[in-house]
Amino acid sequence: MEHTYPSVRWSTGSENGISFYIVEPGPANGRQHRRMIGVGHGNPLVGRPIAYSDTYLRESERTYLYARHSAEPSEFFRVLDYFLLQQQDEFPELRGRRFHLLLNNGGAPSEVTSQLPFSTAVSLEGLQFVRVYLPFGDVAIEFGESTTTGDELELIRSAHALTCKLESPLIGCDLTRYHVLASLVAKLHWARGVVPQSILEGLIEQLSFNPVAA
Amino acid sequence: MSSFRSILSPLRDTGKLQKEQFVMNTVLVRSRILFEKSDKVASTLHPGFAYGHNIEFVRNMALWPLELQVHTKIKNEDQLRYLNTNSGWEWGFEVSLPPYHGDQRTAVVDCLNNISGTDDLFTSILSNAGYRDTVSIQIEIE
Repeated sequence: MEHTYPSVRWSTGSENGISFYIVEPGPANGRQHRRMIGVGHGNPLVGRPIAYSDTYLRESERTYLYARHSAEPSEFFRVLDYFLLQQQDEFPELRGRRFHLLLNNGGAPSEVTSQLPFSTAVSLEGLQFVRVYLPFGDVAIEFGESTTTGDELELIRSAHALTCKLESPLIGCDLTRYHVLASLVAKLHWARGVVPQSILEGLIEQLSFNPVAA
Repeated sequence: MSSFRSILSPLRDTGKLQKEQFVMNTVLVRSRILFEKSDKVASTLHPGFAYGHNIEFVRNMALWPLELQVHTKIKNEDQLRYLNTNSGWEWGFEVSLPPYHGDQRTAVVDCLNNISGTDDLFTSILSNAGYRDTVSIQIEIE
């Protein structure tokens, strides 16, 4: 039997004509889960999870945002390199810095330190997972076959329940102190080919900032 | 705010009966046979002695949670048998892993006989997203 969150509540919102629910089960085991799901008609986000967010209430309200992506490893590192170079004005400590990365190549773990650009320094062979440790919050990304959960609206509307299943592969970032990484998720998001980048960034920012209405 | 802490400390023991690998892309797991009431890894098993089969999820390195069902089977139950489980040839548990958290469980395994000189423990790990990974250890019996 499929695991579900019971008794969810939701609020509605929109971003440049794209409407959505932010669905929220009650907190459980110190974790507050929230999920943005597209609603309306005539766009590819309808019924689909746009992004997920978890706040861990017992851990200084640490907050993570994650979403399914459609990037290959080489593209991820190219986009991350460019993103970090763009951040150097605001975060000068990034210049010349060596970063820690945890890699999973074909099931084998390794830890490396590298300067930018990562795209020429990291082995991509059999790469399944990377965690990048950044001064403004970590990024984690997995690679592999795409799985989707289909239309999630029917269960919400008919039973006030939300599937516990997550789509994959996922990219996540730590938004506890800074929100700059939310735009990185938008750049690699599964819907980036069918929804304008600026709208995706706006949607993800809304999940990052807005609580569910009481 | 870099939160780097190495999780790849050298394996604590050079005993042979241990396996370390990633599962579900993001979780480093160690499966190993320990001497009873000890955290020392065994190299071979001896009939008439009991050991611990320890499965340690070292840490979920993803930024999303994982719910896992873990199920382990003995290949030849005439040689090895789990104690204090529902069935002597298998045991299982469920584990919930928030980001950067780990967990571990241990079952007592009795070495009964040496029939073929080797046996295998197959651990199957199923996520609530439907993914399955396996970790196996080959056991030497003297």
